[in-house]
Amino acid sequence: MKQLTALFMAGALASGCAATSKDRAIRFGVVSKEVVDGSAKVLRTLLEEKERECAPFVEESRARLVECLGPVASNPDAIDAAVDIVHAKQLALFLAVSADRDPAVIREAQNDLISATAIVVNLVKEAKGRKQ
Amino acid sequence: MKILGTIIGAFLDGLKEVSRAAISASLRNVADRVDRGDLVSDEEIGGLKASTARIRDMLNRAPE
Repeated sequence: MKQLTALFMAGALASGCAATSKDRAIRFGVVSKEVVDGSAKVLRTLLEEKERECAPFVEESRARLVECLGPVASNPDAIDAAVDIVHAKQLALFLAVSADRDPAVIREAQNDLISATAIVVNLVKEAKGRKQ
Repeated sequence: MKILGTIIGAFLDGLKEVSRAAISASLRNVADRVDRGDLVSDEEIGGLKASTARIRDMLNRAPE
């Protein structure tokens, strides 16, 4: 049993040592994509609900419509900007990884993507917070 | 007994090498096989932007 544990630890150590900045960046990229995909679904559902709920106010007034939509849904430009940025950062990481760029460049792309992902997550938090 | 220990030790060393090689190979595969679809949210972002476009249209149509 001790030998098996030692073997497992050696394997884990080998895996840690073998992970390059490229591998790590890909893992971050995959996780970020999952988070962004999930966030986009949540935001899309919110917008579709608001679209149905607030349709009657379109004929009434912009102020009433904005009030009904709430601060997140009534600001489609902010949502577009956040997803455009994260999309650009996802592409940048993909290009850096695919082109086998310098580890420092890959790390920078990874960090930029993490920051951009956080902006999208905050939008979802705000949308959910306001919804409750 | 000492010989048996040496044989087991050599076997375990061999396994470690195999395990390191397998892990390194699988990591290389991850890096080599990554494609745009693994890292870029084209589809979901496209769907969301269609929704924001409809909301923008509603806002533009509403009278001041």
